[in-house]
Amino acid sequence: MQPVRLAFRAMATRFEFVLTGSDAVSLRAAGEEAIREVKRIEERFNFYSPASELSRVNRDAASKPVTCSGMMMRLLAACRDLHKETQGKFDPTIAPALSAWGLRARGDSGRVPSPEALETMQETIGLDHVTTDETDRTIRFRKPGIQLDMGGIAKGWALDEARLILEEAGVQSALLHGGTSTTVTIGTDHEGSPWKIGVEDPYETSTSPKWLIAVPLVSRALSVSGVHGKSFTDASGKEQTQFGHVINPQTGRAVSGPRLAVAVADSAAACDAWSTALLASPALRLPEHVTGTAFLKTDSGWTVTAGSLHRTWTVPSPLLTHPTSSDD
Amino acid sequence: MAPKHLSRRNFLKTGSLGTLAGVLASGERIPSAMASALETDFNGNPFPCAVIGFGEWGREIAAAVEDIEELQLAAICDNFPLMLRRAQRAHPQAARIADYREVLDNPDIVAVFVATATHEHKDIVLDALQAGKHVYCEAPLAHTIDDARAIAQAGLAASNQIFQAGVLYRTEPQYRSVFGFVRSGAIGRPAMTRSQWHQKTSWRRSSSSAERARALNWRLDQDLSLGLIGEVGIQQIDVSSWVLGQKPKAVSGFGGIMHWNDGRTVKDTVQAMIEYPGGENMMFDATLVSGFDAAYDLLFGDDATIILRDGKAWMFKEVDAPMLGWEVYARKDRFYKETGIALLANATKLEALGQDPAADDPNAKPPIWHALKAFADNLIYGPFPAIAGPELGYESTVVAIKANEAVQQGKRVEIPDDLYQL
Repeated sequence: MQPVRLAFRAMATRFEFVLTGSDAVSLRAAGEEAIREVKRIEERFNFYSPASELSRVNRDAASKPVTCSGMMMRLLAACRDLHKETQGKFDPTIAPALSAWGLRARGDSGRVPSPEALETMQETIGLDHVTTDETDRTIRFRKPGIQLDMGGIAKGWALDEARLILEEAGVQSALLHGGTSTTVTIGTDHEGSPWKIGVEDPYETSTSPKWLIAVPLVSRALSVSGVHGKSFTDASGKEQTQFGHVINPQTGRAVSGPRLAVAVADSAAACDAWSTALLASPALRLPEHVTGTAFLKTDSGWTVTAGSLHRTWTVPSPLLTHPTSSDD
Repeated sequence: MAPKHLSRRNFLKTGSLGTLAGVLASGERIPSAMASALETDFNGNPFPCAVIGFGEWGREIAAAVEDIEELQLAAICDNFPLMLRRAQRAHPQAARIADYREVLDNPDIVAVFVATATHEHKDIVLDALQAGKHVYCEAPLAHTIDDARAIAQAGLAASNQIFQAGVLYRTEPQYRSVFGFVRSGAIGRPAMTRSQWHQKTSWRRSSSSAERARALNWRLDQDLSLGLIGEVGIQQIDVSSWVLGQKPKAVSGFGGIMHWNDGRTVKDTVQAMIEYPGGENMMFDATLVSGFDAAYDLLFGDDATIILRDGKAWMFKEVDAPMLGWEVYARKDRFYKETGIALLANATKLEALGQDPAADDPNAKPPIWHALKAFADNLIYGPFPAIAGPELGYESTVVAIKANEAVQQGKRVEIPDDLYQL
């Protein structure tokens, strides 16, 4: 049984679907339909495309209620649930903060904003500034300057939708990922074993990956957030500090590293939100449906700072010190 | 939600029939000053509509309907429960109905958008018109000449109802703008046209039910489908015919299954030469094997060539072509060794609104949106003969059927003039 692989670019990253089953023709057709759905979602929620539905909301919702699609209302409702669940640590209104930190536009190299800029920026962050009317399907911002950015959840949301389409088409075994940071699986792999997802040490410079942990997944999703990637190093203080593109919405401060957070749940959108939230606030209490762990890299290796390693996770190399495990 | 009762009285009372018909025929939105001068029963409440057929294209139509303030997506109809579950996820506010007759029996629903498989259009459209609904029917209208004729004749007979065919580019502003350029002589005498549509995709649909998968894959069955040239190429061939102002007289077709040898009976790669009475030819090719260079349309004249792609257009002048007064002010873009003059629809309007005409248009909409917007304007101020009315829908379907015949049989097929007659 040869797996069918499909790859495509969307949301400024590479997506890949691996589908296994006995009918390759049918698998490919299902995969193509799932790809089209991901692209539809990208088009609708593209922060940078002036013609996207999201841009229309960001442009007009401060001055009038903006009528939106059912999908937009559904995504915003999911954001609100996750915002509440993460006690505000996941917030889709942090775009102004990312701009202030110089971590938004292409070519920005990052900067630490002044305290005054931070204070001003904080006034435009908060999902409470966004109101919705479900009956009229409208979104309204309570004041100017609010910007919705679904970048923290759209990849997971799109993968969830893609999974649904594949399941509806009868696909029983698949692994889908977006940019390798968000993964969702259907069933087990073609041998009946759980899909095994490795989380690698992003700071390891050798050519072969160094796995921090390996997570078995059966019909579940996993997301990793880190300070690496879009980040900058500030050397103005006593020590050099690396700031990443994840912002704590309640302080307006960019998370400094080197840190990682991993979240596992049924929904990839929830994983995206929770890995971001855990990175911003490792002490957050996790709900029952999410397994999550925050890691910090020290001179002696990686250590767990919050949450715990699930008993099914494995530590393939001695990179991780003092691992603990739980049955959650 | 009060459904609107439409009558010609609405605009006959205005005494400006000619002006208004001209505006509508141009596909432009009604200027607000003119709209306020019209009498209409439209009270601001959107028109309840239904989409019949919630496959890939039905979903695009539903999304466009949702994005037009004068329309209300009241119901989605599909006889496959899975599609109705998808409808629930995407449009929770719309009623979900399995039998289209139930939609037609609902007096609140004013209009239906028919997006089922091509061979299923006829019964639904005829029943919908019989039920007094305004109808938008996807193109091609049907997979046989007889069915297409029956649909178009019913559309013509229902003179107090709107019948619009899904011939998309007739209402798309960029294409309309280019049409104006060509007709004003900007490219000189048209010599030929060329269009392509390339995508790497199987064109296959998947379902957990084998029986359903067979039904969903009607496009791959030569007995039901008009193939790539008929189901997709119909739009680009219509652009060529529209710009040249002629109906094709013959098609020579070629094609083969070059990659997707999965039991299908329609070609995955096709080429065709469409002949016009004036001597111009159109070259068309489409493939599911390579996505290289995607889709575009080229209009060649002895003074200039225009390319349309991705909702944008550029004109490339011949060195001996006369200078056009406006071109010194126009934006120019380099394409390898050529310089294209950007042809921007509504450039002056954008400038007037303080927007940069060179930037991506924040109000850009897909062609289907403009087609449905024209339909909505007709609901408000009409009914007028639709820009893409029964005759045009029929004629473009005739070309699609004959072009597919040429491709499937690998020969030259003539299209006698009387075949275009309803």
